[in-house]
Amino acid sequence: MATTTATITINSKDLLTDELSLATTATLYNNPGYTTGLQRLKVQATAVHSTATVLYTADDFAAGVYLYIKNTHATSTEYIWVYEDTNDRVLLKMAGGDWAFMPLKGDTTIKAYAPSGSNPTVEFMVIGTDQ
Amino acid sequence: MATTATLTLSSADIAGDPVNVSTTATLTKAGGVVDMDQFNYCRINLGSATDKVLIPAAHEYSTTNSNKLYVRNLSETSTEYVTLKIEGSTGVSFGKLYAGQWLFMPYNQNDAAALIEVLPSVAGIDIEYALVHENVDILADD
Repeated sequence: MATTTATITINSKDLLTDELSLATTATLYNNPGYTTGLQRLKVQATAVHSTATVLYTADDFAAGVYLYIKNTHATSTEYIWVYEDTNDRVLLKMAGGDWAFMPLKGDTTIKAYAPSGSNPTVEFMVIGTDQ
Repeated sequence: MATTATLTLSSADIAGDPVNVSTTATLTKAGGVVDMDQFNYCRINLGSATDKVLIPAAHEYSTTNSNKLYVRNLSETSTEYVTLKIEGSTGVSFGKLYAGQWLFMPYNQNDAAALIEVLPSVAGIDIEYALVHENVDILADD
């Protein structure tokens, strides 16, 4: 098994009266030893569809799956929508520049589309335990 | 001046070479020009193992906003987890936060009924969460 850590820092000098600095590090649960690797793909589908960009395939990993994803587009109004493919439920609406790091159940396929049709590039990596 | 969120993802041994990913987002209101100016931070105890509403439905957090949600499971018992759900017209659970784990994600739903719920695996788990958000007014009395 491998050891992977994820750290988040949220900083602001002017959101509150006093300076905000929030930082925490987690060692990923159960020391998952596998990853899909870092990938960059164009998101070409403009709606929920079989051709939407697959970010994760159901049951590829056992429970305890983590997704890192970023909409790399420089324009914040170029959105990438991330949804789970069982109920077509949208999980994330990501503006250009947004990133997310979140756990997944592992038993549901996760896909992305971009309504604008401008084919923004999504960067993503899934970490988990192979099965 | 702005609010920023930075992720650093590191592993020395998950691949043949070390993996290091670092990225920073500047948190702005929808449209990308104006800085976020509202913030909630809470630490709460999930006193019973039933669904709890963490973020209420979108009447407060509009479908056009660019909010960001951070959640951390503060439990120190490795087997204790919190299941996260997005409810609405089609509600789904999407992941489990085990002890010490955290998430950060945009919270901007396309469904006006959307809300975030948490379900602890056992009663008594502490979590902390923060929401950087925009354009929320104090609600009128129902």
